[in-house]
Amino acid sequence: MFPFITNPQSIVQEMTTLNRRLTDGMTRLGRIAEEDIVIGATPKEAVYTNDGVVLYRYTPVVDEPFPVPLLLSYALVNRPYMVDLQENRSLVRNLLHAGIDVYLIDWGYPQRNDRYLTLDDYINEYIGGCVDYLRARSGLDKINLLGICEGGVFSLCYTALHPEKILNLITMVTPVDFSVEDGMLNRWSRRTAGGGMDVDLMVDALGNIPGDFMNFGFLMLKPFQLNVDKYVNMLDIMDDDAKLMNFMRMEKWIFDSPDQAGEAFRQFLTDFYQANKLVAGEVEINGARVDLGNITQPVLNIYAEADHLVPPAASKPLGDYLGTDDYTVASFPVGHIGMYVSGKVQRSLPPLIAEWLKARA
Amino acid sequence: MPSTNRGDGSNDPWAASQAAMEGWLQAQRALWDGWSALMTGGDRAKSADPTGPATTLLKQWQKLMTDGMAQFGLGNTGTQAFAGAQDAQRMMLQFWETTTAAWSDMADAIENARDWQAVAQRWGETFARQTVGGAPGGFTLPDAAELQRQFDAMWAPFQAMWQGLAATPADFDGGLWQMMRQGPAQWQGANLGLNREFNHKLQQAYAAWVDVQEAQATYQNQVARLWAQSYQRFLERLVARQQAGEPVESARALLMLWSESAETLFDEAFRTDAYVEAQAALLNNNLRYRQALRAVGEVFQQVLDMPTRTEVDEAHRRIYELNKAMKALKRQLDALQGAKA
Repeated sequence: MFPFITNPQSIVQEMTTLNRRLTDGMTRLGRIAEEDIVIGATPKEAVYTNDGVVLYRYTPVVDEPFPVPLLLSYALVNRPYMVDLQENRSLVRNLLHAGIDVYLIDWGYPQRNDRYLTLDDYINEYIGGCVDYLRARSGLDKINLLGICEGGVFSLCYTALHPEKILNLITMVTPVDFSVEDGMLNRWSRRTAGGGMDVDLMVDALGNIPGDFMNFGFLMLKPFQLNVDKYVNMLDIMDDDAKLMNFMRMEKWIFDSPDQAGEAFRQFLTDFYQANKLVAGEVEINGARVDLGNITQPVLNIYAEADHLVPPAASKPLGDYLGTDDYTVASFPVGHIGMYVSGKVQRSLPPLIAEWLKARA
Repeated sequence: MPSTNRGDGSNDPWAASQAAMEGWLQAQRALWDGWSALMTGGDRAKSADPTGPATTLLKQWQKLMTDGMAQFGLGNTGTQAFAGAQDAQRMMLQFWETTTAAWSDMADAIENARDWQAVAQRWGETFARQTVGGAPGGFTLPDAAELQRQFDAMWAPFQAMWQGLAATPADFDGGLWQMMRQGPAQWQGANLGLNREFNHKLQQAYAAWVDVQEAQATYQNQVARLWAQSYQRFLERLVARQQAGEPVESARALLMLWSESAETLFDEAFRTDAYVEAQAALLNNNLRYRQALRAVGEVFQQVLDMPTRTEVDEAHRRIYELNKAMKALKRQLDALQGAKA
């Protein structure tokens, strides 16, 4: 028996159908201009700037928002508008509807003259500047902080260094124990002895680490899913304007990758990924040691159960290192990005965050 | 959906594009009818020979597609998508052709109780040659003369640019390029005279470039091995489907079966020390070469009164430190003023 396409005529039918969809989809694609791909449509205003960093306040949609501001700190990798990708896939919009007063740090696009920015700059200067601005604006001593992925690591460091300024801390898809090798990223980044990736050489040779370089690495983590299957499956939605636009929004987000400031990248890779200093209490930011035990305020740790970038095993141990008695863990059966774009998650995650915060005012 | 008009300027661009699309679909049907006849007839492809009958069909189809799509007047996004789709279909057809030929060989081996796994392995290597340009072990370092020729060719544009400058310093004109033409491989030892420092930089660049070629060959062999193994695994899964009486009944399912087979195998292999080392060596050697190139390039920049990367980096570093110091002073001043108030 021939093991595939035992009826060759069926292939004619299949390919004709497929190509009709393809041609129709290409006509639709041809009518989409780059500027039509609108991302981050929730109304917002810039309220504070520091060098290339901008703090946005999203316009509240309830008459009396929750009085304690929530500051979102996204990763330096990719753009933070993932939290507000589109109207029906927006963590920000859903938090606003839950009554939260939401602020987001936009790290901008580091230029070559930003290559000397360190983690001290990102954590103490930029997050610190935003926190102090919000404390002054709200008249409160403490605000709420929500860190995502690498931004979650920064938030942990900031809270450990300045616990008196943070009321509640939320970490989302945040790596804490970098020694786990479940994830390919950890496997590739952690090896130092005997022919591993030379991070010092990377920064010395490149200055900033190009966004495209980072993206290539991410695509190689699942080369066939991300480079073959994704585009084959795209054929299923090419005859649907709304779904096609959703696809293009995601495509734009994936490849809109800022360069990474060289010195900050060097320290993040060597101290966190390679030396796993965070859980050992050995990370130093501007000479001050980061002790996660200093975090005594309530912490909500949210991870994705199928995360291939930040494996659950890297996130789950956080509670073991904190000084707080109020520690909550939540997880969702999605991948790293599914946390923002999954309709199911977006129906339950924002209310979870809002209720958790309101219970700890 | 935005209604940006990207038609061909006629009174009814939408109708024009629909007509073009219909024409293109006819071309598709013709292709697959031809393919169907090929599969059911006695001339089923016996090998992955690129001049086989399926390739002829493919060429006809590509021409029809290109001609048809030219009428669409697609915007940038559409053009890129079209190119991607065309490429994907080309690969799909080639994949299918190879798989058909591979299965013909394997079926023969299975029916005659021969070692079909060896046949699958051989087709894995064929597939690797088609996809990454070489079978496992097929990527080697060229000999020294070829390496030298390739390195010299890379510098030729610089030489042309240099010689086109009216005010080329006499020290560098002639003698320098003469030495470069002789090639860094010719003078591995210590250098003498006015150009010794530059020559040393050039030697380092050449050595770094050779290291890149070596790392690249090692990496390519790793990848070729993975491609071969992934295809072999795919063929094994096809055998299992055949033995279970569960044929794959669509082109897409066939492609997905291969993709799943490959993803699993690549995921396993990407975690091995051998792969991590090969990948890291390729990256590290490229970075060292970049640094060595910069060192050579900065000699030219200095002669031409241009700022070098090193100088600009140093200026950036100083500005960064001054900015940081200024912010710290401002904070102290604000604190003092606050305390005073």
